[in-house]
Amino acid sequence: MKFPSPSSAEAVVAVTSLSRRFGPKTALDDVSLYVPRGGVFGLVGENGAGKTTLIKHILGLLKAEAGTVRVFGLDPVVDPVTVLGNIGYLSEQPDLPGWMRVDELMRYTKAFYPNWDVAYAEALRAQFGLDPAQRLSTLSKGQKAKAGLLAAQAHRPRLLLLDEPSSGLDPMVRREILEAVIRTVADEGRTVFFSSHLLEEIERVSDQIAMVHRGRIVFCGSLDEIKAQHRRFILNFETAQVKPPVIAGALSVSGMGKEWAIMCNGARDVLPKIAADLGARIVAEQVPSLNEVFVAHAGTAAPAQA
Amino acid sequence: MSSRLATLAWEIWCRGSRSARLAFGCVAGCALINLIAQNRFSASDFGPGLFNSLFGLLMACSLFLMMGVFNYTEFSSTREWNGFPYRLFTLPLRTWQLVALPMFLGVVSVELLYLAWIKLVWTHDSIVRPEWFAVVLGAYMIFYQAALWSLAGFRIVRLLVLSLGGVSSIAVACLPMFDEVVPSPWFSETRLIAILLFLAFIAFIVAWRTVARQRCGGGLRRHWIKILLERITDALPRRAKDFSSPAAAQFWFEWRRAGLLLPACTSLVLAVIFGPFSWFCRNDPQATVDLLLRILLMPLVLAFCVGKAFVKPELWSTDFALPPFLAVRPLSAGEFVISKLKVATLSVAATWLLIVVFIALWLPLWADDTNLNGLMVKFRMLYPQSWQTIIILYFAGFVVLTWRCLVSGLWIGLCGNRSYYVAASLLQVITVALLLLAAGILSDTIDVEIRDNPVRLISIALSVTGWLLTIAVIVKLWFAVFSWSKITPRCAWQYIFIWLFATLGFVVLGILSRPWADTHRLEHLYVLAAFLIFPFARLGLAPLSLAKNRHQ
Repeated sequence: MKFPSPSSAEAVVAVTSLSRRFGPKTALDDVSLYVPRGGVFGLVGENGAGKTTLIKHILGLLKAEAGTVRVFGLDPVVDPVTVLGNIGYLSEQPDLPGWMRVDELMRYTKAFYPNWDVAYAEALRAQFGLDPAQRLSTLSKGQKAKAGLLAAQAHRPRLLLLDEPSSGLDPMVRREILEAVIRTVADEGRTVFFSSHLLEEIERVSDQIAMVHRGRIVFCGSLDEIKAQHRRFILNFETAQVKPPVIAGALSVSGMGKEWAIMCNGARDVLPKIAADLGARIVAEQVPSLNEVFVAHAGTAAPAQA
Repeated sequence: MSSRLATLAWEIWCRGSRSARLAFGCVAGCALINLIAQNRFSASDFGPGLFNSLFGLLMACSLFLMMGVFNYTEFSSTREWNGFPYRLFTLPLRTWQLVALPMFLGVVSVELLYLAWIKLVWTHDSIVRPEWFAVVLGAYMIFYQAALWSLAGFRIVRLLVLSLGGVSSIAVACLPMFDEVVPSPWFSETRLIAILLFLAFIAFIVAWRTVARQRCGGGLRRHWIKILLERITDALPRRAKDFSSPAAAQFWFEWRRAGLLLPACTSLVLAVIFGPFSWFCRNDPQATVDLLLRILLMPLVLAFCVGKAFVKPELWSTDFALPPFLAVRPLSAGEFVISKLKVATLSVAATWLLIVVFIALWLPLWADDTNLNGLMVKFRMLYPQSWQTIIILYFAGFVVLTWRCLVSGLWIGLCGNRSYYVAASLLQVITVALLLLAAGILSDTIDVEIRDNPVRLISIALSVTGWLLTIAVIVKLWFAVFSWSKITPRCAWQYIFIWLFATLGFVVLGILSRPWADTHRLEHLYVLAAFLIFPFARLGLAPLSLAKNRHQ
């Protein structure tokens, strides 16, 4: 499946043919990705798909074994100071130093970013309800996430990188994080790169979505484009099927007896003929949710080819 | 029940099997040397006792390794400490069983190791009081584990207590020997064994109760110490100003994490060991001289130990990777390293300030400085024009060596590879062991040469030393050209200037302090050695190592 990609000149993040192995395991396999300036780019994938590995390459914490990674046109490994000075990063488990207090964290982080907005930082701190004298080790998980988000956002970074930031958090905190994402995008020219397996969040805020599965990008585009390419067909067979029917181009097949549901990716034009050849007819055609598309792709043994 | 305990025992073995094999490997190697030495040196005057130093070194290393196997701690993300493995608290086992198993296995393992040493290696010299040393080893294994688990939330205090425990074990092991000098029923071996066993039992009870409290969340009593400490730290003045630069912020971060450890260890050793000892020996003039030398050497020893942790990206973590919190800061690897070097400088300065203050109070107030004054008189007679300069330069030399002990391993510690770090530490031990082995093998030959041709031997020794120093200087400077080529010119020139200034000082020291009857022209050796003191070549690799760690 190919979707139009912005040229690398417009891209805040340009990943080209990136591959990475950890011993025998291939974490990323020929991944190409372009994150356009402005807006929210959502990255979805199951656990172990390669989302965090990809994000670490963007941060320069991993060096590309093959391919290139450019952030703001720069290599984050060669020029980490310039690149990181324009990135705000929040990870799934913010490893904030427990001995620091909230005000110390703000003061320490502020020193690294000339664009640190003191009033904005103070407003975020008050909004998140963080006591400046409180040690980070005594904060709850949600409060630590907020402290990490404060440190990531207060300097108004050109790129806000969130690696499963709401994992394990309650709905209130997740909502605050999403609002922070929206606030960032409201500022012109700023970009958010947001990875998660909470698809409703991705669906809610993302302009562009990419899915990584077993180290490969299986789809990339706007939510409308993705939904337009995928279809869920209900097939009714003349005779009851003992085993799931084998249908070329199907991402997933589920059902029993005479009625089977087929998830397709870009094969809707040829499916009626295939169904007829198998002795089935299409009785319903549905637009799948992102969740269904995700499950269909994640459940395949090998990524489907467009 | 027994299968659960067996499973836990298997897990302990899996975690530490490599170290255990290495520990017993040391015994095997020394046993082989002992066997060969017995056959070869049976007719000689010295016999296998030539290798006593090597055996002693490797025995100490193997015992440390075995204690490391039973360092039964894991990092708890909820408590943010290295303590008793938190994940075991959900197992269907009583707390006393969880605590007793690693203690029992630890005692058994260390006693087996000790037995192997005395039966297979120390066969030529019978160990005096072997049962007493066996009891000391077993008891201190229990004390060690009890301290690890009970003081898990107090990092620096635990470190200091463990250090003190290690030092005290030597003193305690020597207690029965005092019976020959100062006969007393309290120095009898039987009574001391009973006391030690009783204290070990108390330590087990303390560990059991503490771990039980940790298992159920601590309760009210757990918090009062932490609350008190936090109230004290809250009351202390804290920085409220903004940082002037990212480098200043990073310096503050590193200082808060690692800067106070060396001065804290030094002050504890001064307060607990040297202070009382100096008071007890206040009427002994020779003890004053010995104690002064030990006080001056103590920061080097402490810095060597603290430096093993200081060179890592995060001092208090067992992980060698650069923490992501630091890795994503827009700061170059060079600036990270510079902040560590500055913290080391300030830490060493604070340490030596404590030493100077202690000496300034001790010598005039309660020390018997008769012998010391005599030595000073002789010294001033030998160097009438330059004695003050020599003393200042020697003091500066001690300070620089302390700093070197802290930072010289940065290029290894920051690279993020645990294997390199362990290999570098092992190399230091292996080098010393090989030198001792060589000394043992060649000692007969050397003794014959000393007896028959002393002048020739001294000449050869000085020549070899000179060549070795020359090669070392050349290698150092050549390596420095390579390692500093990647550093920004401004930083490189700044450090080169500091290195030149310091090296010049040591060269002057070498020239001024050479023996006035320098028949062997040792001056060139002092000058060559002066070039090797201040760290240069390997430090240039530290930013590259950190960059490699940061961008894996």
